[in-house]
Amino acid sequence: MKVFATYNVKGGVGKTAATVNLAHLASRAGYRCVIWDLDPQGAAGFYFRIEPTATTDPQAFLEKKRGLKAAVHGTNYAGLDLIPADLGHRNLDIALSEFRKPTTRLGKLLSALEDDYDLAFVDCAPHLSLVSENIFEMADWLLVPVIPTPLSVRAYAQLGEFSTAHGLPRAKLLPFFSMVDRRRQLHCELITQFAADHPEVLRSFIPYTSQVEKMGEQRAPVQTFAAGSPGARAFYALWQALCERIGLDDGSHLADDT
Amino acid sequence: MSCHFQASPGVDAEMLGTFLLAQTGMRPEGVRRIERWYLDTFDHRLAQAGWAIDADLQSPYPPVVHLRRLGTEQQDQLHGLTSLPKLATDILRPRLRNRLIKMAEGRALLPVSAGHITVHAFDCIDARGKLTARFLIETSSELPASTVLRVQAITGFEPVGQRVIRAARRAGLVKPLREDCSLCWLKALGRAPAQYRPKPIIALRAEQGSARALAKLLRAYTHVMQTNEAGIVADLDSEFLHDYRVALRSIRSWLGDLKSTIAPDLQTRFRAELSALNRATGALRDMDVLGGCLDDYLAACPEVPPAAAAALRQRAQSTREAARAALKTHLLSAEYQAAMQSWGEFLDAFGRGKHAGRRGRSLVLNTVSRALRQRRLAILRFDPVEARHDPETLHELRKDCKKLRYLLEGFQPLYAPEALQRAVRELKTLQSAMGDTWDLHVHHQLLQRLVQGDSSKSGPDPGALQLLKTLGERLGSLERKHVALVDAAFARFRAPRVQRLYARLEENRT
Repeated sequence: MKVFATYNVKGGVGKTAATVNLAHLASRAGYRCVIWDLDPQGAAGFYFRIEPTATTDPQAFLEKKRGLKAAVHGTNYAGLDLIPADLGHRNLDIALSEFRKPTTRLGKLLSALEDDYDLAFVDCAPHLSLVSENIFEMADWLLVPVIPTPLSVRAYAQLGEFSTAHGLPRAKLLPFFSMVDRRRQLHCELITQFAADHPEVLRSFIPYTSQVEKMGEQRAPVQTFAAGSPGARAFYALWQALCERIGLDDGSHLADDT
Repeated sequence: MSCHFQASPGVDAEMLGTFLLAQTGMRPEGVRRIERWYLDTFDHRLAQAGWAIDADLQSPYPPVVHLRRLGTEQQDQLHGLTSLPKLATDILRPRLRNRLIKMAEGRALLPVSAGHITVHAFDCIDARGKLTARFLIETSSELPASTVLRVQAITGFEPVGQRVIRAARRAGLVKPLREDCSLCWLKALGRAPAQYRPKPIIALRAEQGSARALAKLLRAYTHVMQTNEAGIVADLDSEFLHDYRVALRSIRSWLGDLKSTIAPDLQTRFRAELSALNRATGALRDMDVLGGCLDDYLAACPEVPPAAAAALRQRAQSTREAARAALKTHLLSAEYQAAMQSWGEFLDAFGRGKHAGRRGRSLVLNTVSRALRQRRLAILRFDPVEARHDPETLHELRKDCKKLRYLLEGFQPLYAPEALQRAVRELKTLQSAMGDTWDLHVHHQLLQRLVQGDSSKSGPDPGALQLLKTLGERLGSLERKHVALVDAAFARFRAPRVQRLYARLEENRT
């Protein structure tokens, strides 16, 4: 099972939209996927009309390896399941610190799903903490949405420094531009500059479009209600760029209606 | 809770549909007419492991193929297929491919049954718009239970499906299917799983005459050969030939080890004929085994030029094709048919007590125990040092071990199961070590022939020569490693503990 974590220290950069749409595209390509909503806000679950589960004691949650399996909920889409958010996750840091190897605990929990899924997408909350270290440990790749603004670019730099300071491989970082408005000169300049400084950036970006925002209203991935829209096309291009980068079959040879 | 339900007598798809639509949140999702195939291996390994592959075909779309646990709707779509998968290796996704490879063990996935089905789909949607259960009413004139209701529960929302089913059962509309719908279908076609065993166990009694017991065994193993013929001719997978050859070798081995049970002239004649058949099948089997290892060998030699590796693969493939064509011609020839008919007539007569040799009426337990002892002593007479240095001697030792194992496995009902299993286990360890060593030796020779065969037409190709040298070194070093394993396995087999076990079997003291 390959694990993707959508992560950024900064909030409101499009992490959840990216997680939901990429996971949906991956399931359409034939991968059996699971989304783990680690953000206590529960936005990923909201998009799939699945309510957050009742608050559980984080200590008990972390101790039960099989517990994650019981938390899986099916979505409306074949091959795509979700582990809904849990308000108890807001205290995950404190609970993790009680363990002897606190940075590998979440990975161990996720490994219980190893036989059931091809791909796991983890939607992370925006912070730098012990949970972040767990995410760095368990993820094969960190998808980092970056808005082309100075603050967001700075947040990516902080993430890079954090990974270096903790001896975590920087090759895991896969940044991509999100919420791009190409009418703005600043966005265009920052994209050019960032791409020159960071060759690891995925050569595909998500535009700031109303259709992506409407995901909250439709409570569904953008491809399901606005398949031909620029937002949906951008996520598809991002999925293809991601597959190309990491050597996954993107399923593009399959007809849509299969 | 069961997922598959049969409509009660007098209840049709329309009545079930009307009932479902009356449930809260239920909405119709359309009707599809599909052709459904069930795939399994020739010997139903998937069904025995508790799995089924359903392939739904709806023109003009590619097939939708699901791997499903029997009796459940837990399924995985085998995506990315433009046609039905023939081998587990055709599956793109590693997780599913590995699972299937483990279950099918090299066997081809064959359509074991097919039929036309009309599917009425219904989705149960809650107040938030969340899909909570899916119901499929399937009707087919070819199914014994002509109307089937399948409940596809959505993980985390299982109670919704259970509630609807409870209501349907209370209304007397459905009852649970005792078996998975795919198994019902197979049974209706008279193709219940687990009818085939590559090594059938024949009921034998210790006080039975040797000739009659041997006749039963020979007939059963001849049936295994005949069952596999069609698969070899159609080249469905390499396991058909493997099973065919194991049965053939077992028969030859028993004819040799229990030779005094059969009239000497017939014994000599049939052993010679079966020996010729063994040689006729050997070339293809060697290429099948090499084909399974070639990619690993080449991967272990990254310095080999890619063009030379590709040419070797191509050459191996064409040599295999030629061997297959020759074997196919042989199996379809009048000569082969006549030989098998003659063998069959002999078996019929032998079973009736004719053509028995001087020990034909002796108790089978005594005859077999004597043969076991002779074969074991023959193995012990081998000099391990000589076997270590001479591959041909090692091969002879390996053949003797195989013959001992065929005796143990063929006549297993005569012996105490636990002791017999331990004896077979000890033998397997030795056989496995020797088999790997011998395979490497044969592959080295085969690769030499393949490369030289290429060079003879267009002169020696430097890439091919380098390939041969590299592969030769690699295989040589592997062979040396394996020879050390043979030493250890042979020493273990010669240990007094193992020998006492065999002695007890031979004296029937278990």
